[in-house]
Amino acid sequence: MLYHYDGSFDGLMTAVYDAFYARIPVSQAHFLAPTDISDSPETAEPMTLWDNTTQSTHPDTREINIVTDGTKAKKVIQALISQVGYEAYECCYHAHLSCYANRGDLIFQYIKLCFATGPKVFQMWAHPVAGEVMRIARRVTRENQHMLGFLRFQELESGALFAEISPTNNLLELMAPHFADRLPGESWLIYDSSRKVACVHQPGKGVLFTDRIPQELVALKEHSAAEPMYQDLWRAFFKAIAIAGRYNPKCQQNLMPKKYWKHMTEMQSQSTPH
Amino acid sequence: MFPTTTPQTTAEIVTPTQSPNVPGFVKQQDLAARLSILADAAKYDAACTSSGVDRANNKSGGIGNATACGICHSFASDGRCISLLKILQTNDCIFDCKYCINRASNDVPRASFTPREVADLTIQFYRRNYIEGLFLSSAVIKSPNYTMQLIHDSIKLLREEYQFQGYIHVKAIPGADPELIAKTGLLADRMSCNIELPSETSLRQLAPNKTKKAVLAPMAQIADSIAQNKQELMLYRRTPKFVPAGQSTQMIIGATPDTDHQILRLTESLYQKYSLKRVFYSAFLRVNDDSNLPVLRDGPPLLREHRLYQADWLLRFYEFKAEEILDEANPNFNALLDPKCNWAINHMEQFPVEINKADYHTLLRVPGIGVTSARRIVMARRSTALDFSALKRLGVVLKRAQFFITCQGKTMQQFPWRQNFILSNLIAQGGTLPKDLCHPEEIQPKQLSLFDLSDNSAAPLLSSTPLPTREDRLASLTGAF
Repeated sequence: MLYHYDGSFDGLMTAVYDAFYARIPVSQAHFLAPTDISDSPETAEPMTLWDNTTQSTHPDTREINIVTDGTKAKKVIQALISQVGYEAYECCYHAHLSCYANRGDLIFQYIKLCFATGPKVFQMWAHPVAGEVMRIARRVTRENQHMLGFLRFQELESGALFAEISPTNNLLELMAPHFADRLPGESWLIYDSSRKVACVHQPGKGVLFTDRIPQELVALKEHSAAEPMYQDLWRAFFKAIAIAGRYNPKCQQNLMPKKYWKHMTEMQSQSTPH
Repeated sequence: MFPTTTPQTTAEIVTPTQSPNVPGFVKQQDLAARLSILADAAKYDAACTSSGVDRANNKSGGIGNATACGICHSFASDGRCISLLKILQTNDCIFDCKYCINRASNDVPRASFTPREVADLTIQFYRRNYIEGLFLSSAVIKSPNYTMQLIHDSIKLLREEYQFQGYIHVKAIPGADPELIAKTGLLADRMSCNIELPSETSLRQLAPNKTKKAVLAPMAQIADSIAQNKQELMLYRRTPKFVPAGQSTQMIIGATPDTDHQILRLTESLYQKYSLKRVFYSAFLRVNDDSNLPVLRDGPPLLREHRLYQADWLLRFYEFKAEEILDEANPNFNALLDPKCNWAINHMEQFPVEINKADYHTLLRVPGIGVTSARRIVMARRSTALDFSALKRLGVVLKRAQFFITCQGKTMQQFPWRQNFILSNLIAQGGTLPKDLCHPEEIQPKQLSLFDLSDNSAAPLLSSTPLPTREDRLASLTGAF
């Protein structure tokens, strides 16, 4: 049974609800978001612990398109929280934000396991499914922690702040509340260039997630007058703060992987010319 | 919002006393040059954590918040974390500490920031998510009180006018007025006072302007005020907080002949007496040509600094006492083994530990099992008995731990229960020695050929080299220091 959902967490929870009450066995339930089908090879790493060849190619697999139903999703989440614990919901949510194509299947397995085991599931680090889901959730939160530090804003002419990131996992929903609390009086926009989605914040108006970003904003952003000066100041500071006698580029790369460097001001040689 | 004046005019701002006629004094207008000088001058201060305080935004015109775990915003080319804007208010010092690049007798470019410049830089960097907050130290200009007042003004501007809610770490200037320190503590998240050197004699020799009393008095004052503030907070929730992220300190390693044992005992007593959050160690770098300073042929003692941090962690998280790690007979760290492995090798009577039965405190003592792994083991074994593959999934470093543990009575592999065998395997793994700190030729097994070959019964991985005896193992291998 193959469930196509819209990619949101509520959509997945609706599909889980249907699969649960249709009593589909765990090995026959599969969940696909729109982004998972046309995945690039790097993100579709097989994480399953069983043979996953039945997806959409097996002639007997029935496919269903799920319409996201808020009430069904809420029921699943409430049941998870009350019967197992808030951590279970958090774990599923974080795992859902990961990049793995079969996260839906894993989450379904995990939810079934949670309802069967109860709060003890949080101690089951050694269990293949529970441990795996908790580890994936950890990867997401770890990358989020990195990203919160490595994200760089640039001030545009209008006074708004613009940041571009390209994380492996889908982190916008995790980053938005952090920056909304940190910079409540600023207009800012964080653009995820690998997924082409963005979150926008206006003072007093909260955060909006959108996938309709005018490309001219990304390509031709106009910096404010002071922006090149502060970028150069930051580069000067970055260079000055290192102790030459302890030069260790290997250590630097370990702690700050190169994949983050392309959007970081100090790792670029000069101000982006505009 | 906050004022957006670009910090280039200085007419209306109170500036620190400057001596524009002294050659080498950088003109006030050149902000980038001054930032380079003052960041360069501040970089030897190791403390750069932004952790310890959880504070949400005040939601009434303020900017910023603080996260308890701290956020690393970048890493410099020396591998150190950059989390705060680490600068000096000024590097124009009247003191003459021998080891310091900013000492009065050095001919270096001198520069200063006005309080408004510090505040503006902090806010603009913070908006762009370059930093978590500010780390403000200073050379002693004119007098300790004058300097402390300047620092206080910068912080006050940030907190009150700019409504900055991010992280602020300030240095307390030794010799400053207690009232100034008290006022600044109400605005900062962390305050620290560098103890600089591990003993009073070395302080007198290398930093004659800083007396032991002048250094320890602010530390005692801050510790008492924090304790008192905690009491007040219990009575009234809205009491203004005093240094909520606690106190820390720093000392220089390698500039004096003090042993590791002395340093570790000092660290332990600092934690106990002043309830410090952290003690930082800074490997000595010979920046000044002074006869009082040692010449280090192999560069700064990075391995020694690393071992001290490992021992510091043992003290704080692994329930070790300083006397267990080092004592009078063994005053210095083992170069080849980290302190925990070293302790384990010398206390083989405590091992092997049965994973499914031992309590948390015993599990903490096993090399390869950290605080998180120990906690996970205790949790996981409630639902099922653990085996080695489960331990691997929990995050235990089996390469090291396998020699010290059993699962359900069995060790992971058969091996002779002999200290030399385990020791040589631990050393051969190299896992306890950071690869980038030491030159590879220093840790080649062939150096051990100087030692007695009597106990050669085991067949280690290093078949071409003889094994150290117990006595040799206990002797410190401090050639690199």
